[in-house]
Amino acid sequence: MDILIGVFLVAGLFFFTVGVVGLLRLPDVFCRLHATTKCDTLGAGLILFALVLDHGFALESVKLLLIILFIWLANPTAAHVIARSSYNRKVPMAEGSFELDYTKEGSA
Amino acid sequence: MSSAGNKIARDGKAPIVGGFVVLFAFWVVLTGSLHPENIVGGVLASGLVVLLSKDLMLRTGERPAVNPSTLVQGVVYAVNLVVAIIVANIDIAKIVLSPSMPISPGIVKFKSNIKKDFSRVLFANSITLTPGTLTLDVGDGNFVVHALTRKNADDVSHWAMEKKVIEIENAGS
Repeated sequence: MDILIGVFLVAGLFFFTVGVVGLLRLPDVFCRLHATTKCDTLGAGLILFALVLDHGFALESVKLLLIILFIWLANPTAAHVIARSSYNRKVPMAEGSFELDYTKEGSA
Repeated sequence: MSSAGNKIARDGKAPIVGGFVVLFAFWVVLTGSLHPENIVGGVLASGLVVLLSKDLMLRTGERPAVNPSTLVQGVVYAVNLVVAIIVANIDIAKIVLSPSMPISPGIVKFKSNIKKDFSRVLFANSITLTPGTLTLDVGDGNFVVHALTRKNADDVSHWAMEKKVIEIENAGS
């Protein structure tokens, strides 16, 4: 069990590291949002889940699961707000960004 | 928040009792005790919050009905979403960590058959949660999504999750 907890903790740290590396390397605000928000989702999720395993079947575990739930609700909402305001204010995108429009072709 | 004389038409009733039950259960989980003091405090706090925020809650007509079949669909949806998130997260990790960083970012706009606001929010947040795609705007069934690679963009515009959202939507009405 301890090994499993360790695996989850290390995996969580790995995804946080990827998030930071992505934040530093990627070219524009949208790409950086991809790196940070997504790795938060899984990084924080895995670390908290490791703590849930550590506590076993207890009230603390329920609270930790609720924290995961709220992170997973708040994270995309916050990312969307940042992305949408950047999009509406026409924050420049990385060079060579494509733009596809499938809305004309009818229903997907 | 609608001021007097500027009411938006709402569909169904505010779930005052249901909201109270959920909040009170949340209170009990957080306090972790059934001591009378805590229960009285919880009833007062949950009641106050429900009464103050009843205009903000989803009405019965604005969300899928809660019954066994929609609950099962919801759980299936959540499991599918978590799997999609993990798979995509590993993809992004590979891209970010590879020395050449093979990204081709851009925007994709596509039309969706999802009708209700609740389902649109669910789908838009699922897109954002899944790595490689980020919802920029939603309006009138058109989704504007930023994708990290061209492949992400093509995938998201024909994402299988959309069908599941529509299934939940239809089951709920």
